[in-house]
Amino acid sequence: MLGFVIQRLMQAFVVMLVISALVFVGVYAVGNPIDVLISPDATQLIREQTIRAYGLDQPLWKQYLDFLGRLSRGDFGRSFVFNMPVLDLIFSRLPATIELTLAAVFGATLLGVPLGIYAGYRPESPISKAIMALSILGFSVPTFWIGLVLIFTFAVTLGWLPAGNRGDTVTIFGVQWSFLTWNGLTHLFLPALNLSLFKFAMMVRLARAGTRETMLTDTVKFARAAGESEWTILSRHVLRLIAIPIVTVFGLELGSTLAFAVVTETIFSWPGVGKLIIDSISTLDRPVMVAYLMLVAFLFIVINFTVDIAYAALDPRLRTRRAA
Amino acid sequence: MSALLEVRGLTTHFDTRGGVLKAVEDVSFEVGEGEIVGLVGESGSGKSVTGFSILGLVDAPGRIVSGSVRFAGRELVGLGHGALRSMRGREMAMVFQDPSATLNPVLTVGQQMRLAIAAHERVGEAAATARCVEALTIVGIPDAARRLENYPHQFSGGMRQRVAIAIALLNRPKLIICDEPTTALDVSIQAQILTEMKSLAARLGTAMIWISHDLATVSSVASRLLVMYAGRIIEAGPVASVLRSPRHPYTRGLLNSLPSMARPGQDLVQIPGSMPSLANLPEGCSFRPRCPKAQEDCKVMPALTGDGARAFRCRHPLDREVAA
Amino acid sequence: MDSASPVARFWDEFKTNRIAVAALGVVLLIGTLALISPLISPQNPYDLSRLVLMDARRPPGYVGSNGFTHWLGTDAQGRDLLSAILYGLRISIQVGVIAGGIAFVVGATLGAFAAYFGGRIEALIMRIIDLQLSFPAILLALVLAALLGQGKWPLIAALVTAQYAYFARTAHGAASTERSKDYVDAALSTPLAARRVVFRHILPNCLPPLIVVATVQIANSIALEATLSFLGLGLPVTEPSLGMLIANGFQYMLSGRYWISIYPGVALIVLIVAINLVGDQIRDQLNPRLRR
Repeated sequence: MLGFVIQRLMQAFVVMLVISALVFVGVYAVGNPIDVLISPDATQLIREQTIRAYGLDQPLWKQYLDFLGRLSRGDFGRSFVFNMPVLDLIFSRLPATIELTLAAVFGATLLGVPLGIYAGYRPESPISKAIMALSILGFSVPTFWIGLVLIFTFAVTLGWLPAGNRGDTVTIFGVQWSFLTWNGLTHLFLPALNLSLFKFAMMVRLARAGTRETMLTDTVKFARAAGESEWTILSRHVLRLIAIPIVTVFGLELGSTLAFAVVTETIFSWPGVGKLIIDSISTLDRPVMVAYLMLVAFLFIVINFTVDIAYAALDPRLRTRRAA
Repeated sequence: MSALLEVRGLTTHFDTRGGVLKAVEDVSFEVGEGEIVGLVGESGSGKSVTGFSILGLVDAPGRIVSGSVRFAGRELVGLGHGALRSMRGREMAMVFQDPSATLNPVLTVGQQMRLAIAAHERVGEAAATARCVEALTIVGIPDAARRLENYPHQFSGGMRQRVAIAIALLNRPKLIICDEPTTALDVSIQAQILTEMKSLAARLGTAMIWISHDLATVSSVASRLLVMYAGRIIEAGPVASVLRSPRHPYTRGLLNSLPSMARPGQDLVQIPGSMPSLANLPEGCSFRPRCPKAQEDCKVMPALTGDGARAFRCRHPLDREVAA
Repeated sequence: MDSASPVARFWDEFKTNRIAVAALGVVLLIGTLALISPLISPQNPYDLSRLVLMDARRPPGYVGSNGFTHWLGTDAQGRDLLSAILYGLRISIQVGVIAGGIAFVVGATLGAFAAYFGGRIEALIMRIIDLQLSFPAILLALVLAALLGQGKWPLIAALVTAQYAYFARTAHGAASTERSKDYVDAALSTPLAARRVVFRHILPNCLPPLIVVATVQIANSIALEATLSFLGLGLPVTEPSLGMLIANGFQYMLSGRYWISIYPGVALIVLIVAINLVGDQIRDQLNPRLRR
């Protein structure tokens, strides 16, 4: 197991190095950041000073090496726009995004898996058809449009819930959280619902497909022949058998939800990293873009790694093979 | 003596898009206490569906159209789901063909056995473990207590089928339906399990219905033989008597195609043609198109006519005591 | 029935699902409407000389200053929304189909060649594709769209980059299975060019799963394009797709003028849902494990 972990860590390191190069070249090779940084009527002297201050006069490979060197010291540079260290900027925004993402993914899984199992268990029942219709809708309707409809319905027309921002927060260990206050919770509800619909649809489909296939297997027939109740079969046999793909997707979706949060945060003015990246794309705030992409890549690698471990925990066949 | 299991006129159909599949048609037989009855037929002859019908485990779109299944004097056809469930595993159990498909790969053998016990009674942890160990020991699994913690993939094929048999035995049923339990195993292990199950049945007084396409296997276990063709029983009788003088041309054909029945150097005799589709059975006797003795009056389905312990469904039966 | 061609048999089974047939009808209808939108639109929404600012942001059913009824209302510039939606559909479908098509060709070819060559080339290609697949497509498209700048072709390039990997993965999976079959070995033992084996033998057999992915991905690229346009990273203002119409209406939504955003959204959703329903039915029909 230890060898496996070390091997994966090495792989992760190489992947991060490759991604950092791609991201760096991609972000810095296109467009001209100076146009954004300096007003067109600035003097030539100010121009040169700024260029030198940001190291923009260096060749690209030199900039990249400098960048790597700074990375190893945990220095992602300063935001052109906010004029503060990028890392501080991102970390100040990250908790809001994490809160939103976790609320969405957990909500989607806790609701989607049971409903999907039911839909797979009784595929012909009207309730199952309704669940599937809902999931097709959640799958098809673009997140941003659902966000608009949610705002229009619950914030504008009914006036039940706020249309944007985080609301009141509670500070724990220096980090602000919305879900601990009632006001914050009301602010969290709509964006989390918005973000979760796609994941919900996905979980329903996954659980349904898995259940449908599992119900046809001899494992289920054998359990029935032993007199086990349908509840036992679903909760003990089927759930365990479909857990493996669900955990995988859960992990991977956690990452893609972080990405989709970009859309939801923009619509609901949720002050997370997603909104930050959209803003920095439109202002060509490159250090922020690079740091954000590196962060997402890093999170993805961490998530993939965790999923692999969870995999081994869930599938005994895999576990013994690795131990051997 | 009243029989343990009495099947009368059992008819099971599958309503599919392609029409009604008459999988089991007017099947009647009985099984005495502790008796081993062999049910032989080609794949698709309805023998497995007969087994599932007895247990009330016919999956949609299949349904029992008519007939009666009496177990220990109790009518099972039309019995509620709950009542049927509580009989399965406790009164009668079933063992399937492929143990690697029937056992749940992500639960330990112990977990699966405890689920089978818990399906019928509340038993303490220690008592449940003791029963699992006992059942595994009976079927010849050494070091049973330790092996409870193992997953199915950690057992060999033969051992896995023993585990499945142990699960079927857990609640000491009076009847076990064995659906080709040795077909998926190596030939050497087949013989071993065959012998063991026979002596086990004798020791525990368990009755068995042994379903197989292999006449030779069935003959070595069963005391009475039922031959099925296209959903109907076409011949029945004590094993020795049927083997010595089959009355139905199909049984004759089956016997002729057995290697052990042929003289060295002689070609095996095949039955010409193949079994008709269950959705589109020929008029009258289903074997008519393949039968060497078919005549005009075979276009009307012959009844199962008795002749002492023997019965057959044929208007032009073979003579008794013909030489092979 | 056995003598019927595979396509005819497929259609016979497809017909039994009435919802899927209706969805297919909707897809064809919307496609046709979008194709002939310049002919049937009540108004050319981009003929600036015809726009009357007085008519801006009017609710559905409003009769404009030129005596013309705006059945779905007007947008912030006074455009007839119905016409704008028809033109928007045209652009959205165009982008979705072109991007999906290019991604199909690029991805399927790459996947099939990887499976065909095997060894290190296969390992390298699939490694990159796996890496990319683990990265969310929307983020990739977002960054690319931002870096490549606005315009139809940069956007299509971003969509293709974000989506080709799904095709490559599917083609690779199917092709590896085919590759290991005897008939490919047989074909390879004859002096045919490798290219010929891939295109004539391996690819056709990968088509069924690829068709399923293609339906899903066309719907996805339409949605992705709308999302990017909504975020202001998609098409330029001169080519307003449905996403941009929705974005333009967003600011008016808070004051209750829902129609500017909602109706283009409904058109978008009906289209995507219909494509997905058709795709679902095709997938169910092609999945042998669910057949009874």
